[in-house]
Amino acid sequence: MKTKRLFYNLICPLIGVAAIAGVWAAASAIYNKPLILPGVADITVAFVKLFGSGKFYLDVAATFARSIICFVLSYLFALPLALASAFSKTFASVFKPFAEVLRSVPMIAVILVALAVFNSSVLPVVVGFLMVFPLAYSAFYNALTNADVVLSVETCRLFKARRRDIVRYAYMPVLLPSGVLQAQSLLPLSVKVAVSGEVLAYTRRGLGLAMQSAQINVEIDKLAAYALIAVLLSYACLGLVKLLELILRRCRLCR
Amino acid sequence: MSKKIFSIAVCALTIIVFSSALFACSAADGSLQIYVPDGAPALTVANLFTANKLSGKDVKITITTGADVQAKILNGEADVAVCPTNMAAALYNKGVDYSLVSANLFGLLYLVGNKPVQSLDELAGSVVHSIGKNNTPEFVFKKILTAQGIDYVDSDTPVQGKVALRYYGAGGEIIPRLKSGDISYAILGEPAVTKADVTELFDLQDLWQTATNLDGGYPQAGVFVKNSLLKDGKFTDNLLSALRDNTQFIADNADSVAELLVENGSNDFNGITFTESLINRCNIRCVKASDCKTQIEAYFNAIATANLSFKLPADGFYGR
Repeated sequence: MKTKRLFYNLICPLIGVAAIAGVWAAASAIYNKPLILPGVADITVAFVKLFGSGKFYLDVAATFARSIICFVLSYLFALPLALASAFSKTFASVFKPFAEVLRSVPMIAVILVALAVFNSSVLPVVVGFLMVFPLAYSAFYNALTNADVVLSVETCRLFKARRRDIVRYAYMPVLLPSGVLQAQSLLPLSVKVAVSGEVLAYTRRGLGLAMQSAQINVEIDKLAAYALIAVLLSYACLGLVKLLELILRRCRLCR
Repeated sequence: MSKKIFSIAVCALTIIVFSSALFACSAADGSLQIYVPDGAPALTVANLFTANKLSGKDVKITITTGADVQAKILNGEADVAVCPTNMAAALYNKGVDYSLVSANLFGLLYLVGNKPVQSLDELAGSVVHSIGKNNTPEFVFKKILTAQGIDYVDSDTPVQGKVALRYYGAGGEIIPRLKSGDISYAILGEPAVTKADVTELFDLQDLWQTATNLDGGYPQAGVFVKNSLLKDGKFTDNLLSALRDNTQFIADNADSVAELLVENGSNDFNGITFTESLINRCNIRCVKASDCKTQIEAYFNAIATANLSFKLPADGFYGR
């Protein structure tokens, strides 16, 4: 049993990573333009060099903090709004256009206003929120309007249960697993969008401007190393999600 | 077993298909591929849009983004590229087989604002909103401030005793805020300054001259050419001659040059009508790179102070 878990949780992902590195190395060798597609060795050297700079740690911490704040804010708004929409069809109908606008509006349309209202440190969080919030809201709303949940809620109403009991015993058992499941894709998305937002806003402290500087200085191996850092940051966020899931299971809040 | 073989075959096929997409498809029609970024750099080769041939080769000019110009130099698709001189130097230091033939744009930045100031040190305690982080506007203004002994800091909010600098991706993000009075000071480039109709406070080209004791501005953009083409001395002479003629061309065709560039793919010149004065403010002229090496190196030294990753290129950078 332990061997099987080791095989699926460690060996197989390592094989996957090795395969990615192998494909990259092959592509780099075939394309033979290291200034555009640097080799694995060059990227590895650039990656290791990053850790020698104090600024690097501050940049990573700043991007990580923005990603987490963006994600938490998205959930903090999405959850009550999804609950309100699930409780009230009127609210759901009124809020639907807001959700659609937030989901579809191109960033360039809002950037001017956003730059005027928010400073360059906060703007990436705002940009991330506009991306992540609609997805989180949809996920929660779909979980709450699932047929089984609707049946549970109707049953609760039949027995004249209090609203908070409906939330606790009918909604929470689906919200928490759904929230944890969605976090596995929304947290990495938060990292990705936070970095893009930092480039857009020229945020002084963060991976975005560091990557933009690398691109301007034609340090493509360094740019690729930063991209790898962003991927590892996403994995770190996934690790946090797993930890949260473990805690919730221990508290029997998650099945 | 057959399922495993099938899975492996599908994976291998996928890898082959995606890898084959990496083989570059370059123009093999023998034409001279010229890439220029949109904006003032496109003005430096305006006359070439009306030229069918240069040194016996058909001329094909593409107006695109700065990042695309960089990519076309890196993959060798560009025979000739107009690009920022600092980008050209960074590419040269990475080993691309190109040299700088000429400098063609000698500064077009202006400090504009809503509140009049008599000298730059009055900006301490205010925020100056600028385009061009990691580029000419940042390097030039910081050099000017340093030369005048004025402290600066990158900040979104005012800092007592220092000039705070906040950066944006484009002038279009600054101009509405400036015109609505939301912000007081900004650094913009021509023709955006004229189009925005804002009050000019300082000419950064004049301030640069004072800071460096060098006439003629800072060579911020130039023409970067493949060394294989430069081996043909006649080609180089013809190119330089055409670039020199451009100065007179844009002066003689001021009222139609913007339209010419828009027809050829420019977005930045929509709604702009050039005048003689505006063209003069763009400081466009062609100077052989080796003839303005001192000015270029002064500009590069300013960059190296602000950008520790930047290294001055060797003499081979300066073409013939």
